[in-house]
Amino acid sequence: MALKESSFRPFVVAFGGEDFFLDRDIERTLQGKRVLLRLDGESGLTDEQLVGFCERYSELPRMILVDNAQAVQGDKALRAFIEAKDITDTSLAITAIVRSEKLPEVWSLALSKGKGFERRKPKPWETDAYTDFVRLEATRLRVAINGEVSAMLLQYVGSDFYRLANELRKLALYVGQAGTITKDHISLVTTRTPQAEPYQVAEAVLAKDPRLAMNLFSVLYMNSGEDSNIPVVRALMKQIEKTAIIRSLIDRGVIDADIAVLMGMKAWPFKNVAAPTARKHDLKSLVGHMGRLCKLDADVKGPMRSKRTLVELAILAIAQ
Amino acid sequence: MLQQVQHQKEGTRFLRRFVEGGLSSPVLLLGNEGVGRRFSVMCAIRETLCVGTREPDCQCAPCYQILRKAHTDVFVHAAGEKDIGIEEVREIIAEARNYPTAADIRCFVIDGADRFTIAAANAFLKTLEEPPARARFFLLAESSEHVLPTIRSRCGGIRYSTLPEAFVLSELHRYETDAAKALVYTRMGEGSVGLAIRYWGSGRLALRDQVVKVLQLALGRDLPSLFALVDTMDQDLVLAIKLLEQVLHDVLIVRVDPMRVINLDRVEDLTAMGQKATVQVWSRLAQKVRALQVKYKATRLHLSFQIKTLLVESF
Repeated sequence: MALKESSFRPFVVAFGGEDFFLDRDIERTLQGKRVLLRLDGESGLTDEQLVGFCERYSELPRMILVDNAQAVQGDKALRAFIEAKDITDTSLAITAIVRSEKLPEVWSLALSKGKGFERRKPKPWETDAYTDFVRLEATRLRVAINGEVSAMLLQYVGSDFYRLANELRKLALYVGQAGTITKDHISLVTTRTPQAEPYQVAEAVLAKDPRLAMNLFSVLYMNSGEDSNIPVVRALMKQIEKTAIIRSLIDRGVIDADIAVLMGMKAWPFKNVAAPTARKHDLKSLVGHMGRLCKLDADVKGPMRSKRTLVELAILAIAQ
Repeated sequence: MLQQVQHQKEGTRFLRRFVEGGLSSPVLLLGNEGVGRRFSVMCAIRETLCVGTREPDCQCAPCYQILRKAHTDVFVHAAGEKDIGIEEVREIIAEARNYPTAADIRCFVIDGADRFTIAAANAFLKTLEEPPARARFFLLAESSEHVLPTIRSRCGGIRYSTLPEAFVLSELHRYETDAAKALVYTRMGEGSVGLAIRYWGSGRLALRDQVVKVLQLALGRDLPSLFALVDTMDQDLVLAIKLLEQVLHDVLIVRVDPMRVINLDRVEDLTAMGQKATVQVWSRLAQKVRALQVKYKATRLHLSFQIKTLLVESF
């Protein structure tokens, strides 16, 4: 993202929920040739202070990098500055790193006068996004990797971009420049870390597979510790709500194809996953589980001890 | 100017002592939002600092500045979405230590004494115990329950009662010309002019109608539509629970005394709903909704799921 003077824009805004790419944007900005001032919105920076920095005189072209730009306090002075900024004046460029999916209004305004990059965090099941990343990263490191091997690497490492990039660097060092990464290389170099997502736990619970559910929950707990309780409860709530709706529609005699349309699901996953799961439960028991989850929600967010045990008990009660 | 305050005799009497210079200790004003706590304090402060006629229409410099929130010795701090933190309290304490610039005293009105963080409340104790000689503190809170006992014990307390319906209605008639709607908003405000006007200003009848629809869907056990409707109310769920409580109150009371219901414009729907379940079912649901409101204040629960569960469990 280092600015080429020919394509100069006074504002560059990178935003989204994926910190890895935003950090990369910062690295590239730091490589630029301009005199750089780095600021952080989370250190209590106000828009007036930021404008003050922007309006300082300098003989050399400058770049102001604002990390955590979403946390800059106030926007009145900044808005006025952006509106008044002459886009042909190349003496100052501002790069804003907005670490949130939603772009604050003032930075949208900056974007309209400059250019922007969205750094969305892909969902764990959007594997294409991850395999594309692995391929591009490998090209950057001047090694070759094919699709199947990328999938294996993903299986080993999970969906953390930082870890994927680090493992690829290790592999690139191992195979040497212009080498090709194979499955053997991965099993030799990469440590396998089991992965689990809260929604997978919830799916296993509703599919009445207590063993799988408990295993996945342990993996999740191993990776995220106490932080995994609330997402799991949340995923369970979402899944149980969905199942209750499907079950009530089945009870009303609505045919599967219509339910799939109503639920906004594709026919295949509905027929093979959602509908069989819903048929394993009756509405009364699902409503009972909803009540249990309400209590669990209060418990995991309150000062209660042994929250993990409470979540495990709920998992077992629903899954059995 | 305190004569402008109506139906709050105890509060007016207490604040009169402050105006006459007989009260320098911190005061805690308890009462629902919109019953006139802040208004009466500001009237008392104006009357104290006024250098003119001491009448409501006085245009002397201090009165003018206070009305425009520009008086250098009058500080009003209200808790926003976040609780009042230690940094804000430290700023208030620092200001309180300074000498007044334009008047003889500095007045601090803190709206949200029940919204102090523990650290902030503790930091404030010393100042409340021995306030600087020229500082006067007015703390506002909705109920004493959530005010730290150590803060409560350092303040003189005044309780503001809810306002009579006729008075709220007369105030609301200034804004709403439709008499029936004005009465509904008045009753929704539950004795608070501020709340009634706020409900009027934000068109809360539409949300109330959604709440009634939610109950009808729950009675019909139409889960897909019920869940979808609750999801659309996501931004207003806290208020929706309050409105749900009022609607449930109405469903219970409409059988006994239809003239006392809050949502007078929906009496027919309320009566029809009331007949579809027993009194026990309705009162149990009302109790659970009330408990949920209390629980939500203490722990940030997943409200939409909680409401859905309450409704599907009940019918």
